[in-house]
Amino acid sequence: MFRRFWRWLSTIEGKIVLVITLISVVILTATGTMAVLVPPDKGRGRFLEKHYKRFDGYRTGLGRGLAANASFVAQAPMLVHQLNVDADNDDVALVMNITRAGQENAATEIGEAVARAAELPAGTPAFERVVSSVSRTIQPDLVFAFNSQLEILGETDISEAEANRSRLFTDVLGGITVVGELAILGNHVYQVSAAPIRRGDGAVIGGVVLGQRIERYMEDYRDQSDDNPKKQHQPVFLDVHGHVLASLFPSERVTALGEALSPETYPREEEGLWKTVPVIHLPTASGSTDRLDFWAEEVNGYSGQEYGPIGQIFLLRDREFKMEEREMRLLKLLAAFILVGLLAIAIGRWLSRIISRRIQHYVSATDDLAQGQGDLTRRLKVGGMDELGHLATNLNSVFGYIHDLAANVQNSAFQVGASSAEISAASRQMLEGAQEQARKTESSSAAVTELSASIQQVAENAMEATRVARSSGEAVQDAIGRMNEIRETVEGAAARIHDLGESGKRIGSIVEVIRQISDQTTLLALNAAIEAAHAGEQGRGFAVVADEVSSLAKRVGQSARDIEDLIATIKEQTEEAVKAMESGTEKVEAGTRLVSATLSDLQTLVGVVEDTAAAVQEQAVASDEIARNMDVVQSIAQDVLGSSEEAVSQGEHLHRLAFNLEESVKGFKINAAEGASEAPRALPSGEN
Amino acid sequence: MTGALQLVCFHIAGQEFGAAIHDVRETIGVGPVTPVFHTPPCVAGITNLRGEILAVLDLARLLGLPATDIDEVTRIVVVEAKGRAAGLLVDELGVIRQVETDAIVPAPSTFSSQIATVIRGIIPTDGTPITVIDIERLLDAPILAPFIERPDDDGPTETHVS
Repeated sequence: MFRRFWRWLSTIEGKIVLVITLISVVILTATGTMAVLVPPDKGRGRFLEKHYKRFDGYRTGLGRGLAANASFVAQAPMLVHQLNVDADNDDVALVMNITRAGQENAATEIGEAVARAAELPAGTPAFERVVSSVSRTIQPDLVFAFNSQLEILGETDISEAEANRSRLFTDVLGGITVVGELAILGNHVYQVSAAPIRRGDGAVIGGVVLGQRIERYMEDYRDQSDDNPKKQHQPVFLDVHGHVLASLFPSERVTALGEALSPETYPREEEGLWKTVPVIHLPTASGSTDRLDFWAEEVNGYSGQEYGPIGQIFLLRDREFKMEEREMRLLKLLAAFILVGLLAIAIGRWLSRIISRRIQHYVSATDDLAQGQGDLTRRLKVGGMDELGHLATNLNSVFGYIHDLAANVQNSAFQVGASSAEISAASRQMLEGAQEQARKTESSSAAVTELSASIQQVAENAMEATRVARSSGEAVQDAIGRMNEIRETVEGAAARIHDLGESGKRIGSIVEVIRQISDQTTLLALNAAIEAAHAGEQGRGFAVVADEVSSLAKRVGQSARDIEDLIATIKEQTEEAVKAMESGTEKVEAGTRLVSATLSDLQTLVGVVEDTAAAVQEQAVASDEIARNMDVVQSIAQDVLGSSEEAVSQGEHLHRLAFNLEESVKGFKINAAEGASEAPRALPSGEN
Repeated sequence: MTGALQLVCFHIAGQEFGAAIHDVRETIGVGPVTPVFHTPPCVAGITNLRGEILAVLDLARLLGLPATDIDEVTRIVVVEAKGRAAGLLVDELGVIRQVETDAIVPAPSTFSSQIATVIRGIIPTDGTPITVIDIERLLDAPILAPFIERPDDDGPTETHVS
């Protein structure tokens, strides 16, 4: 029996029931305990505090209204006049004053009342008329005026002696307006308001006091506190001496009330398990005791010559009624406890049944799948939007995915089988290709090596060309040097020839001298012949000599002339030679320039050839690099060859694996009519 | 009047002339010839020959030929007859020729009288004929009288020497 219960408890159903029951019990226990042990604020002494505030507010509000009335009465011109002048003044003037006052202060009830006072029969004192009208309006318990000598006007039981002692009067004469203060006057407690009466120049000439007995407030408040007289609140005023000055209790209980309200210590009564509260025990006439909750607060006010604490205001309420309420609540609580417990168990069982039944359904639906078998086209019934419904939807999705997966696997396995066969074939082709590539690469490599060798040859030829071009340049340079030498030599020859010409000129001048000498000699010979002729026969021999001399001189002259002709010829020829040489020199210079230009071109050519040689050298290096790379390519091609063989064997392996894969998913039932490649069916509800 | 005659030959204006060697004192180069104002065109000027003032005659102008240009072969032939001397400007001196007196033929009558008086005759040769000047007559020519020094005249020589 116990073991069966324990097993039930370990199922989801048992756990839910247990949890719900425990939670219910805990909540009930907590709330019950709170309710029993810690009673609510309602029903304890302190609850009266807020009621006291209400009472106090009520009292203060009424006091403020009264103060407005007092101020208004104090401004009544008649009253001012009466206090200021004689009582027997002209009534016409008063009427006029009152009427004007009424117009100026229109709209207040008091104003109208004061105005009406003027219509009272003449001869009545002004204050009496005012009081009469005010009393008809607000019916104050206390209404009087007084002058600066503290003489009281109006009917009141307050004696002038008491007025003389009272701080209230002196405050008003000091110009203070009293608003809703408590005052003990003539053994009564009043709520008083008072205002000073001022002359036209502002001087205080007296005061007006309006007051209500506090019992009137108490009565109003008590009647409004509750309809049930037993539940009504009872306000009490207790003075500083422990005397009850105002209450609604019958007068024979007042003494006992005073004693009960001011004991040495208040008796305490239990409230709940851990708390006691102070209470008031008031004996009754029949000898029993009334037990009362209370709230008390000190109040300030006028008492004789002082303004300050004048006593306490109590609010009292009967306590019996509260105790009954608490016992009733306990009984109700117990009943609710039992009822809720039973309800919790019932709900728990019902709830857990609903939940676990569906879970059981899901478990049985997935049992087959757990063993790698089963119908993948089946779907769970969702039956709800809760978490289990969500679970069912998810499981349906999972079924769908597994269905698709298995279908895809079957299809893919088939396709992989086919593809792997293709891959095998392709790999074989690739292998052949790789072999072909390896062969081609080898021949390319050889070609590149040859190319490299030829480029090397070209590079060497280019270097040779550079050397040849350079030596050509040197040869041309040499030629230029030679031509320069030629030019210099020709110039030297020209200079010599020029010198020769000069020498010819000198010879010419010498020959000229010779010719002149010859002429002179001829002349002399002629003269000698003439002299010989003059000498006659003796001169004959001399004449012969003279003749010889003359012919000699003539020959000399002729020779000199021939020499001059020759020299002229030499001069001409020399000049021609010089011209020819100058022309030759110019030609040599032009040739030199030409050859220099050629040299410059040749140097450029050398530069170009050198650049070409360098470029070809770089090319040779690059082609070497290419040859080395071709070696690498060749080795890579060998690797590719190996890889292709590997690919062939791997393709065959893949084919076997695909076959195995197809075998492994054959266990699942996939609707044959739909075909493995068809799109998965839409899932049943649960996702929307 | 037969017999040999020696002629000093010279050339004026391309023609060869000759003067009897007895009438020729000497030949000299052309020194400075100073022109003289108010003289006939045939008087070229005067020159100083070793202290002796000589009148230099331009025969070419006298014979109606163009004036003689003085160049390096121009010479002065100093002639002298009856104590009177003068210089003749010649283009070029020739040689001394030996001629027979018979070879001299008289000048043709077509010559003007002024020229004919100073010409002794013409010697025809293979080339150009040689005109023989009669120095004595030349120096006697009236046109030259004021300029040619006579031996009995004093004056000009003395003046020039000083």
